[in-house]
This record gives sequence, C-alpha cells and structure tokens, in this order.
Amino acid sequence: MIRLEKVGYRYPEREEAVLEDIDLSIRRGELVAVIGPNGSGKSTLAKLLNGMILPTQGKVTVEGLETTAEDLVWEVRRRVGLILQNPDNQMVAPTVEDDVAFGPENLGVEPSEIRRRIGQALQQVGMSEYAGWPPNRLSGGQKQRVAIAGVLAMQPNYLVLDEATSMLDPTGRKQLLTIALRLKASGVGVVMITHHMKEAALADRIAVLVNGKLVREGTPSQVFSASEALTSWGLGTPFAVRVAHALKEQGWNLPPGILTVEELVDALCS
Amino acid sequence: MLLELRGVYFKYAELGANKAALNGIDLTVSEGDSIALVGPSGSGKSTVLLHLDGLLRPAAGRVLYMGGDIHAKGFDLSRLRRDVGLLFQFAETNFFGQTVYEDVAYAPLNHGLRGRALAQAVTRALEMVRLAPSVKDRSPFSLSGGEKRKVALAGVLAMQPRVLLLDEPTSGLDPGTRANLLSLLNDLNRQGTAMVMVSHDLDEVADIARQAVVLKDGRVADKGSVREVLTSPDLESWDLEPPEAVRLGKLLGLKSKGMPVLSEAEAVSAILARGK
Repeated sequence: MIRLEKVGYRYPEREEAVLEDIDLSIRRGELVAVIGPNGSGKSTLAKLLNGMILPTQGKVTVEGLETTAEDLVWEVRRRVGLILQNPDNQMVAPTVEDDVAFGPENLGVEPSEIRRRIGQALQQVGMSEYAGWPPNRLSGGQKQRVAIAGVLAMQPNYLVLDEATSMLDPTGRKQLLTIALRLKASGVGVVMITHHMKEAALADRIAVLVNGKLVREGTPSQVFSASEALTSWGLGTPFAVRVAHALKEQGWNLPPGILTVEELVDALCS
Repeated sequence: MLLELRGVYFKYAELGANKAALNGIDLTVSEGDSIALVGPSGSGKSTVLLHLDGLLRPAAGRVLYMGGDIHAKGFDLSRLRRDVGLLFQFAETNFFGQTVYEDVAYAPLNHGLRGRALAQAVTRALEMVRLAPSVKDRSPFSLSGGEKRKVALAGVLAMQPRVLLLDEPTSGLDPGTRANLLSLLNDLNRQGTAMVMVSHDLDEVADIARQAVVLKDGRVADKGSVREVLTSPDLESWDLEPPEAVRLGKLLGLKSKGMPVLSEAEAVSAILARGK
C-alpha cells in the first residue's frame, strides 16, 4: 500500500502550501483517479508518491518504506513508476530501446533479462517496430508510450500516470487505458491523474483535489453526483452524467449512478 | 483565399524511413474559416501546421499565401510571419522573459515595433486573451497553467494575425479553463481571425470548428463540415473516436433537423422530443 498521512508540501521560498493535510491510500490492484483544476497540487502529489519530492509535513510510505529514507530511494522508485505529462522530459537515450533499458540497467538487471523486458514492454505499448528509432523523431504520443515502456520494464508494483494521456490520440489513449486496466488486474496499483472525467469514471475510486486539499473521495458515482460542486471547482462530470442530469431535471425517471453512454442507453431503452 | 497547400509532399530526412510524413496534401484556408485538423498520432497534423507557417519547406508541391508561393524567390516571408501566427503545443514551455510583458512583446519587437506602438500591441493582446493588464509585470513562470497558456496565445496575437494556427491549444488544461479558452478562440474567429486547429479531442472539435479535415498517413482521408465528418460512419476506420453526443446519437438514432446530432444540447433535445 502507498500511504499518505497528513501530508503537506510547500515549495522552498513560497509561503503558501501546495498540498495540505492529505490522507490517502492506494492499494495494489486498484485504480485511483485524481482530479482537480490546474494548480490544485495534483502533479505535486504524483511526485510525492515515488519520493521524487519529499513531504514537508506528514509522511508517505510505500509498502512500509518511508520515502524520506535516503538509502531506500531507489527501492521506492522501483516500486512506484511515475509517468509525467510531457514525455520530452523523460527521454534520455539515443534510441528507443536504450531508453527503455535505462531503468532496469540502473537496477542491475541481467542483460539477457533486460532484452526480454524491453521486448515485452515495447510490445505492451505497441511500439516494437520503433525499437531502433531516435526518440526525438517520434510524435508526442509515441514518446509517451516509450516512457511508459521504460517504467514497465522496471516491473513496478504501482504506476502513477500524471496526465499521461493528454498528448495521446484516441487510439493511444485507449491503448494506455487498456494497459492501465490490465496492470490493475495483474495486481499493480494505478494512480491516474487526469483532466478527463470520462477516464476518471473508469476508476475504482476518485480523489478530488482543490487548492491543495482533498475535498472529496469516493466511487465515481458518489463523486459525480455532486455535479454543482465539481463545476464550481472548474471540473465537471462525464457526458453521460450531464445528459442524465438534464433529463432528470425535465422530470425523467432514471436510475442513479449512470456514468457511461452505454449505461445511459440501457436506462433509456429499458 | 489566404493560405493554400497544393500537392504538398514532405519527408523527415533523419528518419531514414520509407514513410513520407505528408503524401500529397491539398488544403485551403479562407477568411473566417475555423478548420479542425484531426487524425491519429503521426498522421501529419503538426507537419501541416509547420508548412502553413512556412517553417518547413515541402519536398514537392507548393505553399501559397494570398496566391504567392511563399518559397519562391522574392516572396516577403516577413509578411507571412506577421499575418500567420502559430501557437505550439505546450507553448508556455518556451517562456524566457522575466515578465509577461517581455514574452508577449517578443514577436512585435522582432517586427520593428517600438515605444507606444509596442506597449499598445501588448496591452491589446492581453485584453484579447482576457487577462488583467496588471499581469504584464508578473513573471510568466508564476502564473497558473491556464494563465500561462493565455500569455503564450497573447504572444501570438500581439501581431494581430489573420490566420491563427493552433497545435492542441487546450491540452493539459482543466475542463473549466478549457471551456474558457475555447470560448475566447470562438470570439476571435467570429471577429474575423481564420483558424486551423489540431486536436485529438473531437468533443472539443464539435464545439469550436466548422470544417474538419481528416489526415491519415500523410493524406487527406476526408474533409467537409464538422457535422459531416464527425458523424461519418468511417470515423473509426481513421482511428478516431466520435464525440460522445455522436456516439449516443448513433446508438439511439437521434436526429436534429433531420441530421445526426453533434452536440450535447442537440442530443438532450432529441431525446426529450422523442419522449419516454
């Protein structure tokens, strides 16, 4: 489990805290979405999860390992893979396969095992045919998939995706969501930070961050039932939730908890 | 007609791949147009924008501005640079100034504006993106994500371009900020700025564009009104995901004035009209 207890974060030389009093836990095998307006502290939260930055208040533990322990830094980062929004900041090597090899090489994995993991990881993200390409010639979406392959090659227990789909096309996005759901099913804990309410609706739980505070946490139907609050925070609800809401306001009787177009169609046709 | 691509062919030499990035593209941008370029990653969308802005030179074919070949000898490229503005994806990563003013003033300064004319250009641009005038003295790095994007856009608008090229202008923005930016772009378009926007989000395209061009493997796979293109049965064969309203409309057979529904409001009205 990744556990945040009363976690706060303040950037050096800034008065205002970016995050305050966050209590949250993420278990292996579950998908947790984090939503919040720009500047709410989502990306800071993501970086706290793998010890890339350390809390200035409270503590973060990954399967019991505190992220502040200097000798555990690499073990924490192996267990918690982090994918950032802009893949350009994550490419380090001259070719795609070297880039994917970077993580496992640092962990001292056997060369033959590294080859195997590169092949598998690139296949999982649909980038096998680009193994020998220079990353700087790939499109944004392709780079993002390579970055994800790099994390998968380290076989993490948790994967944190910080708006990782924002540069992907619908196919890439679906592929990534499929990868996330598959990893979840195989026991990986997935944290997905997103601006897309439709993606958040796929999660087991949604955490809502506003101004550095955790203001809501619950299942998608619980969280999306508060549509007015979400809108006032500059967020919103998925399309199907909005349509169901509009119909209910016109006196239509629809079951609660509609999140997807398919569920809406079922409700309207029954 | 403002801008035109005629049979444009382009290949990124460094790739050593056999695949051309653009494979014979024809595209016209006229006064007042609002065109969405859609297609999967690697289909050539951004490469088209770079050609429209004159940053890339086609291997074959021509790029015309007001009827003149922009790569012909004697063509005044500075005119194209002034009249055609390009907002790169995540453009705020290119900020360099100590203040917002410096960043927004960069292009007009390069084009010879000085003194009061320069200050006016900056003030006007910040107004156009609905930012308070006081923001000009702040560090661009101290702004929120949405404000940064607006400052980047102001930097492009400072030249009062006739054509605005936008590469994924809303990526990374929260839904509220996104809606705000889209309405601002809509207003600019209504006031006469032609727009060509690259977007992966067809819900957004349905909201803002009037025409759509589908690119696939460096070719134009389809073009037409946004409604025609986004409700096309071929959409999925182009690796595109229809807007949610279109998907719902298809599943329920919803029509608006005899046409397949495109927007959320149309979908709700059509369901209500059909009755329980």
